[in-house]
Amino acid sequence: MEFSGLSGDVILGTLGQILPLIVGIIIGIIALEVGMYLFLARVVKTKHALPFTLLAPAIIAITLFMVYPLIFNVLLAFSDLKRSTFPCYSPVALGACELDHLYGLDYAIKNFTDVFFRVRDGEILGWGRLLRTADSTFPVLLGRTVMWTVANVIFHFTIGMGLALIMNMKIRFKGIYRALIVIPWAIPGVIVGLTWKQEFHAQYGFVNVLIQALGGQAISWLDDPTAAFIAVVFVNIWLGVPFYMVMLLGGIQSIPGDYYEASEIDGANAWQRFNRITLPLLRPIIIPAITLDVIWTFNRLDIIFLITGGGPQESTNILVSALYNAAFGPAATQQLGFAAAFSIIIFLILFAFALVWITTSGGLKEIYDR
Amino acid sequence: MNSTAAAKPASRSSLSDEGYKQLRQYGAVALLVGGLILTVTNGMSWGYAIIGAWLGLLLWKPLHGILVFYSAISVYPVLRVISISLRPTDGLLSRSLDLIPPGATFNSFVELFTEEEFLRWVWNSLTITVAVSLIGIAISATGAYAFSRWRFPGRRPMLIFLLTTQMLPASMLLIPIFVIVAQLNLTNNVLGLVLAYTSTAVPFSIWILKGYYDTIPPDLEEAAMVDGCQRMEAFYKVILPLSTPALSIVFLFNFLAAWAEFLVAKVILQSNAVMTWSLGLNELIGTFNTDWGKYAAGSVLVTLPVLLLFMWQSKYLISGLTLGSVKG
Amino acid sequence: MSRSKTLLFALLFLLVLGAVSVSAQDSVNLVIWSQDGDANNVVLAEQFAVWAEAVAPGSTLEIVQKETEVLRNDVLTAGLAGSGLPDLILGPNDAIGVYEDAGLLMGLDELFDTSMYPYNLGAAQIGGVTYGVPTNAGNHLMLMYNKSLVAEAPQTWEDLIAAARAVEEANPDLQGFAYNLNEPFWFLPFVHGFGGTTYAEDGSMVLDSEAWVNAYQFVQDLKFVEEAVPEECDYACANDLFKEGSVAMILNGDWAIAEYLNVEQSPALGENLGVAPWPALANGERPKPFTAGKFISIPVTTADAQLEAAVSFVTWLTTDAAAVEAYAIGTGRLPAIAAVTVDPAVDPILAASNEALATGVGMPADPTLRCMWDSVRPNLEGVMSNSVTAADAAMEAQIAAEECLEG
Repeated sequence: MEFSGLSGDVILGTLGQILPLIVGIIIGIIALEVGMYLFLARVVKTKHALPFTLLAPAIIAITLFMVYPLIFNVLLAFSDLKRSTFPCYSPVALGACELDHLYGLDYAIKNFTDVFFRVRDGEILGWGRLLRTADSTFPVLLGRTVMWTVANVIFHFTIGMGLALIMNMKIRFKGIYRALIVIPWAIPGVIVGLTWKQEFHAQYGFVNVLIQALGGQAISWLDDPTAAFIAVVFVNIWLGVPFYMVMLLGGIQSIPGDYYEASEIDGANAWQRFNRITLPLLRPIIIPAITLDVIWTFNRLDIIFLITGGGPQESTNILVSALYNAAFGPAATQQLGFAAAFSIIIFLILFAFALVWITTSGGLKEIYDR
Repeated sequence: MNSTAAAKPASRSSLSDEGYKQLRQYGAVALLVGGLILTVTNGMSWGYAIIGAWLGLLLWKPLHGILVFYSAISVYPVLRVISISLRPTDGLLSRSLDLIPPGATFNSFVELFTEEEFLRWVWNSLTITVAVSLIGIAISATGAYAFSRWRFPGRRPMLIFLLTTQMLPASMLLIPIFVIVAQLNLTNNVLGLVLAYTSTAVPFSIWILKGYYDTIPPDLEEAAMVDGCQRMEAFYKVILPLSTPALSIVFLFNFLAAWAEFLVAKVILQSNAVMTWSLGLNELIGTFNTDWGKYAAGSVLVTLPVLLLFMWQSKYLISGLTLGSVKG
Repeated sequence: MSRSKTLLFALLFLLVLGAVSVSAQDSVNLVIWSQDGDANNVVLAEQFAVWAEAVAPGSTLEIVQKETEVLRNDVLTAGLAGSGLPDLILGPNDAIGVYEDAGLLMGLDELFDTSMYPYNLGAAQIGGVTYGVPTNAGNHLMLMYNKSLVAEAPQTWEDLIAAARAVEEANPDLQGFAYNLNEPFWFLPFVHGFGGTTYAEDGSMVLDSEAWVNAYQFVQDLKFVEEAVPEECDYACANDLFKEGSVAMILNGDWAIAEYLNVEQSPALGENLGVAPWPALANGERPKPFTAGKFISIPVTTADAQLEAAVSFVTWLTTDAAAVEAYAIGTGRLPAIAAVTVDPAVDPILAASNEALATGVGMPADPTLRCMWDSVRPNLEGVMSNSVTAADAAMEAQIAAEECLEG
């Protein structure tokens, strides 16, 4: 009996794959933990045997799927992997390999400079194109990424804070509002992207239908570079507000009421109370939330990928979507060494930002120093 | 008592307050009636009535006006998807804003089940998601405990590294992850995806859980250990039960992330038998077919359960994420 | 002639025998990555079942559908990993150059009788080696119209614009004409119609000749002066509107014919579908679509029983008259072998498609063609949003292409 692709056999088949995995992993973890604990405690005799043991599974998982890919990418950035040299790096490809070495600093230098500059015969001719338009240079993309990130984070924060403040007042139907406002958070990104893409259609999307119903002019959301960028930013703001509202509301609710009572006696007005009590006390929530949001937004690919694909005229690309397009998109040139170098640069920018931000704001002290 | 509602202008001009309030009420009624009149005179286009009613509400109770507006923005696109899923096949592209389309039909839903392997997609996604959430939580709960309760060499770098993993661009991981999974021979198997998702979920889970454990006083475990419990026993008996909000948040996050993921799945899964719903629905409106009806029907079906789970958990969301971060 | 036929039959017989002897021991499970539509893949699966029953009972074919770019990337990624490549790849010919460059395809001259494919085999040959056998000829764009809205296919663009206006005047809810506006594949025919090419005679890429400028100007005017196309339209839009009867004329490829003839999938079409060559430009020339076909290639990792079965199946699929009848003709496409012909009396749609095919130009398998597609796309988008002039678009595309070719 089979219905809609699902039958008893299929169910048993998948369970046959999954259950042994779960059981295997549990047994494996226990065995590993016990073994490792005994080894560390009895043989190495470290007093940190227990914490290391507890961390081992996480470390293994992260090493396999995060550290290894990272190393893999660094290696790629030191390679000359492109279509014509593919046989050198692929274990199965036919054809002679014409490279005298597979990995080297010379390749890395070329890959990394290619991200920034157009070099010909050792001479820098200007900014290099990461995609195919004249505007697809590194500074332009970085600028747009910063704009995208800043716009998103500012709107996420202000709207989220506004809603959280309102929701913290004595107001009816709070539960209903909260449940409705978190909805965008719960909708899978694929569906959000593809649905909004359709709704930004110049003719059939509800955005233009509404604008026209209110007497406005239809906008070609996906054909006009500025409009398209506004559209993707809007969708990402829409997506991100619930996270802030939830975080900030939780924080505001845990501020003891006597703080406000005391300041009210001192004659502080609403703004002063917000500025002097709410904001400082929420700092431990705001700083990590903004840090995470900056990181996530900077790296958020799916919305742009699904709604505009980076177009029109490659004008809604941010760094990560340009990277995706350069490595996998229609304009992909299969220069994987270059793509790897590009991805490392993006990562380093974010890392440098995080480092500066975290040390200056001191906001993450809480997390690792407690 | 902790309400900032005291911020209302009442405190300053309490004399004119009553009259002011009444004036706003009259204004609200006038706007509502105006909207209704425009609706009737414009051939029953309810848009006017809705706008009138909302403006009235905004005047009468501004806070509710704002919240209703934002709730509408949050919900409307979802309602649109539901509406598209009910459209008949010859009216998929339509400029109508009706939530119940003319000639509404459940055909798209029926076709989704009979013409596509929708149930199989959902089943695959479900097994992957549940496995990821369970394994992820098991790994992170213990790892986070180690970070929270011990000072060991490499602790700080490791914590910073966990944050660093969040900075890796997704496209950077795609090729290497495929290479690993292909070498493990798991490209036509859900296991590869389970392993990849679990690993990517662990860092953030550890972060959240560690933050939560930190707010639980160590005295509690020590008390339990005095009672003859081993350290790990104390962890299972004292810490885990107390961390239910954070654990359920982590479960929810990992569930949601794995349920909705498609970039990695698209690269790794190379067999129809293990296709997840995100790939399946994506294909419905790919280059080859553009089946908006079935796509919308599928979207409704895969979103609603998660949505309900999320709304039901929205209370926990607040406490699980932030409890204890603000010290009064 | 007859000798070569005998030889061929002997070869086929041997192959079939070989496959049978394979199946005597085991059935095979093949995987094919297909850049083809659902409807066509269904027929492919049916054909495999026919082959399997006769030759290797119990065999299975898993068809994994992949879009153009996804297919290309996945083949390369799997090639890099060294495992995970399918047994067969079905796709357009322009990706073959990419795979061949990467060393991931098997030469097929020893495995197939290449003389069976007289029309378009060249589109899959690089350096004299064959890397794909055609399942059909064509893959070309043509004019498709809804006969209930437009009685006769317009012969010139002037006629087309007039016909589109007439449709829109008669019923303001309808569109007269629509196509995939921003996709270069739909734009290249105009370039060819104005006398342009991608490669100049010396082999260099020239994307800024007068013909290119004229073509950009033409599509820009079509949208902004004549207002003959919708404000925004991609493949999905044109396809959906056409299927539900909301647009009278579109430009689309042979791969869509089967879907349009199926009344269940296309309620407004079926009998009403009309197919014709592109209308002529003012210079009297018809825009010339790129032509090639869909090709099946074999990755280097396919071996042993898998390879034997794959060759046997593909040989049968592409050369057996009944199979070609079912898989090419049955999916609304044109045969790539001489033994099967289209009868205009039986199949007027395919005959018209054949007529449109004759107006096309062959698409090269050269991997540098990608540089043209990628350089034209953003500039075409600029032209179609009226933010770039035709001359600037051509100039920019040329610069981009040169940078792309530099690597």
